Amino acid sequence: MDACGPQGVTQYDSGDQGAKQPADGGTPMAVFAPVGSEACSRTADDDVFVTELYRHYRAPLITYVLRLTAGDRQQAEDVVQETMVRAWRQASQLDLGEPSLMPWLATVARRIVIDQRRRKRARPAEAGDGMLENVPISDSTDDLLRKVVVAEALQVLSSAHRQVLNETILSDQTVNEAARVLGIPAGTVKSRVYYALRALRLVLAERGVSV
Amino acid sequence: MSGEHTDVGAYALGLLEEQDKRAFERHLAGCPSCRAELAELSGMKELLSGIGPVEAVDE
Repeated sequence: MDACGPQGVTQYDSGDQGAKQPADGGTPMAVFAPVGSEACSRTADDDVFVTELYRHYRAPLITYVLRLTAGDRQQAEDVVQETMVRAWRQASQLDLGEPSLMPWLATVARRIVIDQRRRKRARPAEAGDGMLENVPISDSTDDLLRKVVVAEALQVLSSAHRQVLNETILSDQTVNEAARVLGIPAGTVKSRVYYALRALRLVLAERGVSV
Repeated sequence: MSGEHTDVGAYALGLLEEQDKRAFERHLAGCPSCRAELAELSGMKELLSGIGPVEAVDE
């Protein structure tokens, strides 16, 4: 059992805001570097896992968590980081080859938000608490997760496929309206929508979402 | 002919205007493979609802 990683990682739980944000806002290594324990250096596998985790899931997870934190970016960044830390601790049980770790990460992130809210409630009221109380967290989360997972899948479509869905179903425009906007024949829009849907289904299926 | 068959995607999403919609429904009546595809694509409209346009991620 490796007693080093988690201890090193949890250093920034101590309330030192400055330590929570890597300078460029996106490099995980600065955050995950074990503090003051040379004997417990990370393995190359850890590095790959964390880098891949951030690359694939940081953006969709931020989008997801921002909704739970009522748009509080700082809190959302903290929650995402804590989520990544927990994923890292359980790296041996997680498989990056999985279709998508998003449901797992979303569940963990949601729990962190709930825990934070409970802790806030247990303390004397402070500014901003009222806003947190009003954030829906249960009923809407499945729907939110659906949106995040689908939006993530849309990202990996070809730009032509993404564009045609953007100009039709995703902005409530008919085929003919999209054809005018895009300056292409309606027939082209229709066949592109068709192939975009097939591509999207494939991407979702690869991620374990059956439609 | 492929032109009509591929209309099934736009039809499943409710993107066809009235005239096109009626034309495709006539085609659908005589095309088992389009009916099968329509069944496959029936969940897509709901799946894509409320998401809004998506921007590409810079790699």
